[in-house]
Amino acid sequence: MKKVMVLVLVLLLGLTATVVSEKRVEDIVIGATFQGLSDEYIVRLSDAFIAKAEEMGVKIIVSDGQMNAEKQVGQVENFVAQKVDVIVMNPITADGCAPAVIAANEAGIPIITTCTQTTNQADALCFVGSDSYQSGVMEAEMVLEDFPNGADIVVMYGVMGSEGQIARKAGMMDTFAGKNINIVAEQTGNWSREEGMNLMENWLSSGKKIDAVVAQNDAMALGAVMAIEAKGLTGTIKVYGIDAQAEALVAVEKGTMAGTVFQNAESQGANALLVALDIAQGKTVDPVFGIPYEPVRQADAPHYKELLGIK
Amino acid sequence: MQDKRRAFSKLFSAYGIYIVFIIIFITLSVMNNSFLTSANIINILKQASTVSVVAIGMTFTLICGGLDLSAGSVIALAAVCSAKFGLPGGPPAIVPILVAVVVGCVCGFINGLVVAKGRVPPFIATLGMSLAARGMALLVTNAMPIFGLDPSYVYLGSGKIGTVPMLVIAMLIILALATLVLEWTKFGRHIYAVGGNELSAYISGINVDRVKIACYVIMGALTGFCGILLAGRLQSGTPTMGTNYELDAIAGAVIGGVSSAGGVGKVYGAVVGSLLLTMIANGLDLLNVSAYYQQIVKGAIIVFAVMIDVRTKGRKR
Repeated sequence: MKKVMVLVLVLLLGLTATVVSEKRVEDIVIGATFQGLSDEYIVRLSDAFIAKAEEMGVKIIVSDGQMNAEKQVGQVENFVAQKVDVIVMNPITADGCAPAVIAANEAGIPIITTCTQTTNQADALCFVGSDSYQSGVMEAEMVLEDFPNGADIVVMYGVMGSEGQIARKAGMMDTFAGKNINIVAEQTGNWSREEGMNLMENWLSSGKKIDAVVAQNDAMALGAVMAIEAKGLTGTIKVYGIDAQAEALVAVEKGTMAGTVFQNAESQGANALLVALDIAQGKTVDPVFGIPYEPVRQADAPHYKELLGIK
Repeated sequence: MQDKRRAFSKLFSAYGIYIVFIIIFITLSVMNNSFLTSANIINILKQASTVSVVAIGMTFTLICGGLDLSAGSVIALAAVCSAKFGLPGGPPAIVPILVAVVVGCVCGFINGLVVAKGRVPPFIATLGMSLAARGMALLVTNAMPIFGLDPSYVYLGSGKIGTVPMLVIAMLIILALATLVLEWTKFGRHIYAVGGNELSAYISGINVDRVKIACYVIMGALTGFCGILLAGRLQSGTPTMGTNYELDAIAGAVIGGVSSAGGVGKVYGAVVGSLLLTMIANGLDLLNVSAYYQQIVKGAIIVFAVMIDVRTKGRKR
């Protein structure tokens, strides 16, 4: 009899527990802060996140971090004050946004990151995104594919010390290790098209032999393409980028760029929302939800253009 | 000996920054044999042109006792607004050029109005404009670059006559016009008077507010024009373009002898200052100096160059 009582009690408890944890989707509120809506990629990321939320019927609050870690930490603190169910953060800097993770944990509100990570990522519930290191590997692999006998290359880095710059460089260096790749010049172009163009103009007039340009993003790569075009050297120097932004896809299709790397903003944004929703409904999630990079060569370009709705 | 030293210091005081310029020029020519080639000199001129145009405008605001921190954002706003009219099949190229200049003028006019009539410090007024203009540039484009521009649109920024880039020609024309206005007109003298001593300018019957507003409008027009030059050079209009242009322009002008306290300076000085900064960056790229050292070297040279300039000028008194 006692046993039956216990069993019933346990069952009842279990029942109420599931009732409590199975929160209705309409009642869930997710707060999200993106590193800055001045970036083409981040806009795609947040658009995908918002579209998925509308599809699922979840209430979301979206903040623009304005490329400022302090602002993002403040926005997460605001989410805590508003008692949202889950916080999604796309941190602008790994260390600057770490306090936001601590603040959410202290308040007992689950927090996940997307696209980029924080230094205390282990304290967050999940990372939905791609591994920057892999994009560096993929870009370098394209170079090795095109130059099996080795090449003299120049490298354009993003903002020195940023997470993307460090990880992409590590991926590139590890892939080139032991191969006959000679870096004749390397410099930061600060992710900027103008600086990439200036750099390339300067290098071209330095008289160095250059077979390929490895730029850590498409903006700098496109700047290099223009400098090469102006010198009438199109086709003699291969240019590689990362991001697969619209104009780069057009350039890869035309052949003025040899390749770029596609980071799936749409998948990252949509899955960040789904993972947050799972957490809000009490499901357990893996600490990493990986979304692989994809190399884009001339033959692949039309497919990706269609994917991004580019004519 | 004493005479000789005095003669040297006199020479140095009049031409301090130009001597620094020549020393660095010769040093770079000796250190790298690709530096002193016509292709590379054209690179430097081309790369310095856009920032020089802004530095010329900045000189107007600095001389009349102000400054403009909104330049970088206004470049972006003017560029993306005009690029919308610069796509193939769009109106003739004069339309986007006018759009860029008008957008710049409106921003400049608002800056001038807020500074002169609103009595808001230029630092704050133009910082506000900087944020607002950047926001509008993002709004207009939804943060997406505009590319695939018509050849007639990019001609000013990418075309050339013979081997001389249009950019450089455009910059030299603006330099000539600005010099004309500042040195040869009554309005030019009024600008110096307002920046030198606002009160005595007012007492002597100068419409101080109008002069200030006019300076900001000129700055805005040149910034807008720089927007179309840069969009032409990069063959795209990007809402993030022009970042830090205001700081480079202020640095170029001040290095070129324009006083940050107002009342003193020449536009050609601002152009030489901008050229100096570009030349240093170019030289360091050719020498393949690491990115970390580049920033340190650039920072040190900026401060050093102005220090020499200030010291030699101080001795004159």
